[in-house]
Amino acid sequence: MAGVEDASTPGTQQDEKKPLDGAGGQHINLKVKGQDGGEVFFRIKSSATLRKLMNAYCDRQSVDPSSIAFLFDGRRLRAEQTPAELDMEDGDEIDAMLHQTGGASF
Amino acid sequence: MAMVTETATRKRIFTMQHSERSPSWISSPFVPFTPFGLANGSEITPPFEKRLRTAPKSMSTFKWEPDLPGMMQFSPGNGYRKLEVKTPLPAGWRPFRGASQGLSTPPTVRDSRKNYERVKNEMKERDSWYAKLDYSTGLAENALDIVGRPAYGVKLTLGPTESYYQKYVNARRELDDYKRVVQAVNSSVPLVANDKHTLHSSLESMRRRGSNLQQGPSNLYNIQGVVKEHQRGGGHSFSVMENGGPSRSPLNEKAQPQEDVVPDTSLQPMVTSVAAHDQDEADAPKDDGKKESWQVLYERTKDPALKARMESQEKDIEALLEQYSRLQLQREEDEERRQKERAASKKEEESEAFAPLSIDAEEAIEYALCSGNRFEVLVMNEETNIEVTRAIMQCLTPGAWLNDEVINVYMQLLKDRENRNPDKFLKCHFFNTFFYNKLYKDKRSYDYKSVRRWTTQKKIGYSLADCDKIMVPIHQDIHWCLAVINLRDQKFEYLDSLKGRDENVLKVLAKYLVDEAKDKNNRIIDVSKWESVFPQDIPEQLNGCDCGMFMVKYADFHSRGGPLSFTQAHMEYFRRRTVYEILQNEAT
Repeated sequence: MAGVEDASTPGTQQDEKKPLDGAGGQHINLKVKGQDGGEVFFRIKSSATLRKLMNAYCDRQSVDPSSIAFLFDGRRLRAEQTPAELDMEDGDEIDAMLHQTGGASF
Repeated sequence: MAMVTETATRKRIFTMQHSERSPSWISSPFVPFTPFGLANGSEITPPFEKRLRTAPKSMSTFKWEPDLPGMMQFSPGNGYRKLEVKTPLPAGWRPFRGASQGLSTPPTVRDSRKNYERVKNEMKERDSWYAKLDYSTGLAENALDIVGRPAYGVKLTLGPTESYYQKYVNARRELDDYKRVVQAVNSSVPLVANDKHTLHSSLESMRRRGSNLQQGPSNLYNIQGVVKEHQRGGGHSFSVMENGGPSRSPLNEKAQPQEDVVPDTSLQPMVTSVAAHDQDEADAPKDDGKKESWQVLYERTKDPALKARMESQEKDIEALLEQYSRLQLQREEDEERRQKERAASKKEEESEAFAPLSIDAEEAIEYALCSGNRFEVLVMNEETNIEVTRAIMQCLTPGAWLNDEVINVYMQLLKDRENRNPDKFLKCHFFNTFFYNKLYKDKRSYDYKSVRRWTTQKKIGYSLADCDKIMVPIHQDIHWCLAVINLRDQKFEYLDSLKGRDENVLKVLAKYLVDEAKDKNNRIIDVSKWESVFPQDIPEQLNGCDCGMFMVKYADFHSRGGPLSFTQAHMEYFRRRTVYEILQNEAT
């Protein structure tokens, strides 16, 4: 999980805090919000891809990465994107949404 | 020295084997080859040229006539000298009918379709017979390979047997006779030919085979009947005339060969006129027939009255044909015009919405939906950042439930389409499938803040309040519906292909619209008088899998601004079309 660190915040389910990585790049704090309202905070380099963040979130939530869609302001995120190119700012929120399917109703 | 010893040793071994047991092949014609020659010989024989010469003469001929296309039988006697493999011709074999083609006139306006069909069928039949013959030849060849062709002087007999050949020759001769006569009559050359003998023979044979000629070239192959008649020794074919029946006389027919050439056409009047003409002539040949002189009959064709009548008939036929073709042409024109009118009456957009897929498109769709690598990325939609893999695309196969990715990509394509053609389509905004979840559903409470940043001017380039319609896909756990904020008509619509109602959705969206206008445009919209409708006259879903497709198409047709003029029956087409549009990254 190099480059991605959980940052605990009072009032969330986070319970561990990892030291800042001092070397290179600007770090920002991102919040991943699940559909159940749970929030996970990550600290990530602006120039790092979001893949690590996504994998870390899925690991933590014990879900299959392919079953989750990450949205930033309503737009899907790709694993290859970086916070820098998405103009993400400190404290921005990423939505983790479960994929949907449907065909009928009862 | 060493070699001699070796050979002698092998020979001894072989002899020993032979004497010790009676090999199973001893009673069969299959004689195994050994490095030293044939296994049944006590001598070592050189290659097969010599073996041929030294083949034992005491053996009788082995005959084998495989039955086609059944199993091959192979039961030889004790010994054989000659192996004869005979392949019978396929049952029903006749000399090929294509011979008649030499007779048929070049296609003219008079040649009816029926005639063409007949010739075509004959060719087809002939080909199939030849295929069967080839097959039978192949079987025989195989058999020979098994038995060992070169060693035993096997003779392969293929092709028509003697009797068939005779029949074929007879038919051929008849054909030539017929040709000659027709040519002579057509060119009005007197039949006093230079070659007396030829003429005589042809006349003789015509006389004998009159019954065949009566029916024209297509029946030349009814040879068996001819042969039988010939064998009976009857020799002539005027039985019909002698009976005095009202039917046609063969020679009379010959006397006017032009009529023979005229085939049936689909024109009723013409046929009847010809028939009437025949009846007129029915009695006439009675006396001529007794003379049995062909030349007398031939002279009759020069009768001016007859000639005039025939000419007038021909004119009638020409006129009728012309009339017929004119009518045909008119009918075609009418049909064309009517089709054009029909097409014009349809709305252009509507026909676009149901445009048939090209062959290329079908191929691309097949490839996308085939059972290949599920993780192959078929297309990447830059706008939505969604990679559509085959697994995702396969939700568009008939019967599958649609997933959010396909719907979101398609919504984006609809938006792109509108951007390309702003005049043709209404100004719409298409939310993705997660919007309503964020706005309300996940928390079961209204939360504008979580979607506030979704629709900034910077992100979408326009403001929602300026749109005609805002489409909101609603995911009801396992069901897709579409909510439409219709700013143009000031109403909220909830389109459920199963006619469901969810008033809450519209309430939430009304609240959202107010908040959105206040937040982004600093404007207050009064929605208290806006209508909330749950239209019941929309296309209805009749199965348990197509609601996603219905939802997507509601959005599509709403964006066109036209009526929702599709049904459940269109869904399979829409699914394929959607696959193609996603593959092309372009909705039309």
